[in-house]
Amino acid sequence: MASRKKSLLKVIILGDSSVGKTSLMNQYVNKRFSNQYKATIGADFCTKEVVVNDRVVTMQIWDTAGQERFQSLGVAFYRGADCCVLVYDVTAPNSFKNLDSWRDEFLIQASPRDPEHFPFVVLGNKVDLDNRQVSTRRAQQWCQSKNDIPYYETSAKEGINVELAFQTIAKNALEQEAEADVVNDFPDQIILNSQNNRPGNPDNCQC
Amino acid sequence: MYKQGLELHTTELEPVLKTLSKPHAEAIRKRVIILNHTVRGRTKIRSKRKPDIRDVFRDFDESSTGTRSRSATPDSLDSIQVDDVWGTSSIPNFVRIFEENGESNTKATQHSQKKHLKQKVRRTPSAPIKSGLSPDIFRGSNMRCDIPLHSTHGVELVGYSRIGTINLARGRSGSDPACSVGAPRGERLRNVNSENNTSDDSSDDCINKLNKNYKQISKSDNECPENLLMTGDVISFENICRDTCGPDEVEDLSPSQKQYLDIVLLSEIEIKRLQSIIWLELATIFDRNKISLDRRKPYKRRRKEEGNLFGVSLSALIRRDQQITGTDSNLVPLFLENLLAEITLRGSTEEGILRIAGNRQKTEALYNELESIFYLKFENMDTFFSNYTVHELSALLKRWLRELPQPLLTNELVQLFYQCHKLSSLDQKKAFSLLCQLLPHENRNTFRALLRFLSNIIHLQNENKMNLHNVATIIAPSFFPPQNVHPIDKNSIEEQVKMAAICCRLTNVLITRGEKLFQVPKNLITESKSKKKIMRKKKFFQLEVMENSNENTAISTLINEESKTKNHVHHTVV
Repeated sequence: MASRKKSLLKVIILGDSSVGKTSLMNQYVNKRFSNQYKATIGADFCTKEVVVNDRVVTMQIWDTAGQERFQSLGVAFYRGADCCVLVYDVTAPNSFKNLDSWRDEFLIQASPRDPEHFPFVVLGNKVDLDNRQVSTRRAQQWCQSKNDIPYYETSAKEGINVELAFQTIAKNALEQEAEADVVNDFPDQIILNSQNNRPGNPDNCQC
Repeated sequence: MYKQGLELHTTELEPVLKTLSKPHAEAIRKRVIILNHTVRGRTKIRSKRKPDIRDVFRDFDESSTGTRSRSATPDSLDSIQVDDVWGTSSIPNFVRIFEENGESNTKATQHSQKKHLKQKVRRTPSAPIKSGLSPDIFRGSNMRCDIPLHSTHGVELVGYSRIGTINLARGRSGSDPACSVGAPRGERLRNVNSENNTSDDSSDDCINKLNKNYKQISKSDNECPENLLMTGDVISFENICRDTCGPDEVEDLSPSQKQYLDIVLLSEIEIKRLQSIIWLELATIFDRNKISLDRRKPYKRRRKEEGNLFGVSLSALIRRDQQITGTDSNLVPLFLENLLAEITLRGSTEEGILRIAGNRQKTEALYNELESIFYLKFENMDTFFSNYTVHELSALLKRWLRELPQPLLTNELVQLFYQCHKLSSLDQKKAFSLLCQLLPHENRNTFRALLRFLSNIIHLQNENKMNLHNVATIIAPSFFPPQNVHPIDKNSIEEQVKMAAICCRLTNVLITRGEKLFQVPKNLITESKSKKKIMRKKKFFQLEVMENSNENTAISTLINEESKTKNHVHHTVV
C-alpha cells in the first residue's frame, strides 16, 4: 500500500428528496432504521471506521438535503470528495431520471481532476417495496453508459446490500486516492463487484 | 431641519414624546440622539474646522455643568479630549476610565471598539455646540438600557453607538455570553434534551456531531464553550421547536389581553398611517433584546425583468393580471392562485407533496411552456396543469418563489425576519406580526395565501406525511433565499447548516402563527388614529432619520468598517 494515502475518506450521498439517503447512512453507520418521514436540513455527516485491504480508514459520509436548498451549499460542500454515491428510489422513476442531473451537478461543483474516472456508486434503494418501477436492467444500462459505475440494489429498511455497497464505496474512494500510484488489483475488483451485484438481484425478487 | 445642520432640540422633542408610551418614547429618544450625533458629525465635516482650543474648553464647561455626569469626572474627560485633539493615544486609558466608572456595561471591550471610539472621540472636541442636549432628555427616560449616559456630547453619544454596534457583532458571532436570548434557551434546551433522550432525532444528532467532528478535523480548537452551546442551541432544531411551542401561546394572550383587527379590514391609508407606529413598536422590541434594527435600503439593482411569469416582480404580475382580467385583483398573482388551487386539489393528500421532486426535464418543459402561454390561455390552466404530476407543480411553485426578483419577504425586511431568531419567543411572535404588517400589500397577501396553503397541507399530514417540520424544511429556502440570507463566510459549512436550521425554525413559527400574523393590535390602531398630528411629526423624524442615514452612508460605513461588524450599512429607523 502506498503510504501517501490518507486515512479519511469523504463520501457524499446525493439524490432526490425522500429516496432514503439519510436512512441508508443510518442503516450503515448505526444499523438502525426509522419509519419516520423526515426531511433533512442542510447536511449531516457520520463517520465510520472500515477496514479496506487490511487497512483501517475512516469514512466520513455526508448526507445531503434533497431539497433545493442544497444547491446553495455548493462548492464548499463537495470539495475534496473521494467518492459520490447517487441514490434513487426504485419505486420512483423520476428519482432515477434525475440521477443524470445529480451527477452533472456534482461534477460541475466538485470539479474533480479527472471527471471521467471519478468514482461514483449508484444505489437503487427501497427494493423491499412491492411497487417497483425501475427495472434492474434499465439501471444497469445507465450505469454502464456512464463509464461502468458500480450498481447496487439496496434496502435501508431491511439492510439488504447496504454493507456490501459501502464496502465498495470505501474501496473506490481509496482507489481514487491511489490513482497516481501503480495500478494494483483494484480495477479488477470493480468488475468483481458489478458481478456480485447480479446474484444480489434474485433477493429482491423474493419480496 | 437636519438639512440646515441643526440638531433636534430636546424641548421640541418632549411634547411629542409625552404622548407616546414609555418604551416608544425611549426608542425615539435614542434615535434622536443618534441623529443629532450624525448631524453634528456632518456639520463638522462641512466646516472642516481645525481643532480649536476654545472648543475643548467649551466642551469642558458643558460637561461640568451637566447634572448627569455620573461617570466621568470633568478632569478625566478634559484630559482625554485634550489628548485626543493633540493626537496622542490615550484611548486605552480612556476606555479604562469609561469602564471603571462602570455603568452596567460588563461586556469586554474589544480592540475594534477602541478603534471605533478613537475615531469618534477625535472628532468630537472640535464640534461646535449648537444646541446643548440638556440633561432633561434623560430625566423622563426609565433608564432601562445599560447605556452609559454622560452629559458630554462626545462621550455620551459614542457610548451609545458603540454598544449598539458591538451588540450586533457579538450577537451574530454567536459567542456572546451576554446575549440575552442564547443563554436561557440553552439551559432550557439542556433540560429538554435530558427529558427527551429517547427521541429518535438522528439528523439533529448528526448536525451536533458535525460540530464536534469539525473541531477534530480542523484541529483548531478556537471555539469557546459558549460557542458550542450556542451552535448546539440553534442547530438542535426540533428541541427548540418543542421548546417554543405550547406554553407561550397562553402567555401571548393573557398579559396583554389585546384585541386584534384583521389587517384586511383596514384601508390602505390606515395601514400607511400605521407604518410608523409599527416601526416604532418593532424598534422597541429590538432594543429590548439589544439587537440592532438593520433596515436594508430597498434594492436598486435595475435588472430587466425579462420573463413573463418567472423572475417578474409581484407588482408587475398583478398589474398584468388586472389588465387581462379587467377586474380588481386581490393582490395575489393569478398564476400563483391557480397553481396553489391545483396542488391543493390534486396533491394535498399525496405522500411527500412539496418534498418529492418531479421529473426535472418535465418541470423544465412545464416551466418553458408556462412562460410562453400562461397569459394567453390562463382560463384553461386546469387542463394544462393536468398533464403534469403534482410533484412537478410543486417544484414549479418553489422555483417561482426562488426566482422572484425580490424575495417574498422583500429585500428590505427579510434580514429583519431573520434577525428575529435572536428574540425571545414571545417577542419573536410580536415582531413577526409587525414585520408582516409592514410588507407591501401584494407581498402580504401573497405570503398569506401561501401560509394558508401550507397549513392546509400540514393539516392533512396523516395522509401526506408532511408535518410542520417537513414543510418548513422544504419551504424555508424559498422564504429565506440563500442569496439574501447567508453567512459571511460562504465556505463555512457549519455556518451554512446553522443558518439553514435557523431559517427552518423561523419558517416553522411563521407557518404556525399563520393568520395571527395579520392581526393588528387594536391599541396600535387607536394610537395611530388619535395622534395623527403627532404622527405627522414623527413621520417627519422618521424621514429625517432615514434620509439622514442614507445620505450618511459614508459615515456609517466608516463606523461599520471600524467595528468590523458586518458588510452592510447600518440604518437607524424610527
